[in-house]
Amino acid sequence: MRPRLFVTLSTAVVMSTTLPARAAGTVEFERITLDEGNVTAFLEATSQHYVDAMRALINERYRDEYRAIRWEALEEAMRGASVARLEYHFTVNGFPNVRVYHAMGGRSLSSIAQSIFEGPTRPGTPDSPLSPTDFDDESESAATKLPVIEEAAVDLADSRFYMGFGDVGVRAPVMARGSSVLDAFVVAEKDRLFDPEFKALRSIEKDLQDQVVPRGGSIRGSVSELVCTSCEGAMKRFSETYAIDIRLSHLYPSMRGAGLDELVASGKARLRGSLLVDATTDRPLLASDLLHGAREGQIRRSLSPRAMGRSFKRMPWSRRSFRLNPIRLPRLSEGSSEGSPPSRPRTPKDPATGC
Amino acid sequence: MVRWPLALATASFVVGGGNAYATNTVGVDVFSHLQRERIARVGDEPLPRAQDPLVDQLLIEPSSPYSATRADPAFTNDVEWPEVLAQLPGRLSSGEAVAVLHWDLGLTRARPGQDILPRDGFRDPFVGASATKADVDADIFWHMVDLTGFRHSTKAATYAVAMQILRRQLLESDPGRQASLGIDGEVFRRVMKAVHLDQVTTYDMEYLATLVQHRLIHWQVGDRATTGARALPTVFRVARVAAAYRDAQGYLNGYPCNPAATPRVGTAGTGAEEDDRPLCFVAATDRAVHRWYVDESDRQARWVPEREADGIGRLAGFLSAVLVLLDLAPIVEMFEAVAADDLVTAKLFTSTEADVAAERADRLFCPLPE
Repeated sequence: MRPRLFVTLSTAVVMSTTLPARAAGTVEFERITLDEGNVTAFLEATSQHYVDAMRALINERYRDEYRAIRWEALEEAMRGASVARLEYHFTVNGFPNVRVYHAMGGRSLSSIAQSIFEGPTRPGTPDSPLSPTDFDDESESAATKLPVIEEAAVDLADSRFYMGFGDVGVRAPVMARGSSVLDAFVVAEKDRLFDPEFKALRSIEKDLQDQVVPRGGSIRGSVSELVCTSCEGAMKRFSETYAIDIRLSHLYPSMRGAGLDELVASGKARLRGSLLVDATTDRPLLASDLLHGAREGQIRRSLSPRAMGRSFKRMPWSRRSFRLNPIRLPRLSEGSSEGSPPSRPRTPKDPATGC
Repeated sequence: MVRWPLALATASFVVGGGNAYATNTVGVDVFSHLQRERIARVGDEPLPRAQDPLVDQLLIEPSSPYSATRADPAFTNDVEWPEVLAQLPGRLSSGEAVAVLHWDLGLTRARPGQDILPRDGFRDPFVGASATKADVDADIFWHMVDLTGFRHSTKAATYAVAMQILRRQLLESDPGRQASLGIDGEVFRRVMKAVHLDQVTTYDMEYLATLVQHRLIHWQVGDRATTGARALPTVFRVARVAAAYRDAQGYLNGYPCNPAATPRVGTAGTGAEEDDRPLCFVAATDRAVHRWYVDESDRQARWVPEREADGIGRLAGFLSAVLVLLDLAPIVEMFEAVAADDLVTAKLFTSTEADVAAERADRLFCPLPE
């Protein structure tokens, strides 16, 4: 179901709530429509962590899985999962510090992969009127739902598939219900415990409780989808309890109304099918569209049958021989550490291939 | 949020003059249009063997790093070329469209006074020409190499470009919305205030690396640089800044350029596989400078003095991803794949067509280890 959209160009709809009494925190949401600043870049980078981890998981557990329809389901699941990137800014001994929490919505990667590769084949199209209309529902029904506490354990065990996180950038996993002001609740049959922004906030809360980070900081970040209205209440409680300002940007998936009319009338943009594009360059203008396309590209480059080196009949697939996404290389400490700079490297090459 | 009271520097570009120029055409992506036309024409069939690669048609001497550009490449005689031109916005002439291709594909040079009018503050016209073409301000340019030293100047180049991107975002966005848009002025302030690399936080390094990486993996051309000319693709901006640092460092075996910005015979590198000598950078094409950059960044990454292991080690860790991405010698083919991916986002290509572009590049790259 798509929400009705009311947005004006470059004028974000800011819903600001200042909390009273002991609540020192403020919660602000800004809807991002056009691709401005670095929101898309940061969310794309967050998404890449999860695509890479899923690739590692599949390589280990489902290497011989060939059925194309399962790959389609995988692509759809990864593309449809929302992502969030929240920064906790705080001060230690007068020096500013930041810890970044990355999260992807949904259950653990193991559970997602299991539901796709081990569950029953998902139905084809067209759906009957009684078919599930949302892939989440569908995948949920196909999967064996684990209790949250077990899901959290599975997610924790998946940590070995994730590369690139460290002390500053951390993954926000599924967490079992516990001493949290972020009451888990179900909205539209969806457990918000699995929303990426809640995973991230819960991780921040745990770090606050464990004194990994001090109180009194502020949170800013972005989410790839709209934050549900009822979720805002939980965030206000969080802000109030820990005296933390929260400022979240969430991507608004469309543009309608006066803002759109004005943009089109000015000749700067036009509608091409469902896309709002730059009238001159044809480039999509909405942050949501660009992020969606970028994530599709990540999946195509890392998780498609071609990328995974699968071979279907008469359809050779091979992974690209170059990467368009950040990868992790051996740390510098694994190289030389003393003496003078080495001479210019000349790696021996195979004369036949030039490699 | 602090808004930095730093005015964007301005510079003039010398336009015209044979094949040497900086194009001022903005807001158009000729390469993507050409690619779309080609895919529409040949589909997923490989290009005819008789057809020279695009770059070979655009350069007079493709094997030379110092080649001039060709104003009337063979493909402009194809019957499809007028159709490509007709689809471009702004009624570009054939010459203007070809000039945009020269610029975006890294085929232009940076000779001071001929291709580029250097900005002030770089202490040397050759250094200034490369840095000006990269659109990096002098204060950022010198500060970043102060932090890393010339021994790690290729990394300084990446961060210098990132800092310039951030500065421009700070100048051109509403201060009230910068936090929501992920534009962090504090990062800029902290980095510019640091006197040693250890004072630059891991967060700041990651932040800046992400700004550059995003622009490396997406084909975003056609913006206007602060100089007024068309902005150079990010991959060449980084390489040009690194070249400027190399020129600023000086040469023990003699400067590789003559005063007239031509390569000094016997001293300047030829770009050949076994030739380690530095290029006369201002006389070299962006593409040739990028090839040098790949080797140089690899060489620098292998050396970490013990006393610098902390700051430099962290620096190398975050930049490794960028360096790998840049380590792509057949860069035009990579551009094709990058542009194709973004054309899928724009729903102008199918994913199959993007794969065709990727396969064409695949044939030119060595397999990646898992």
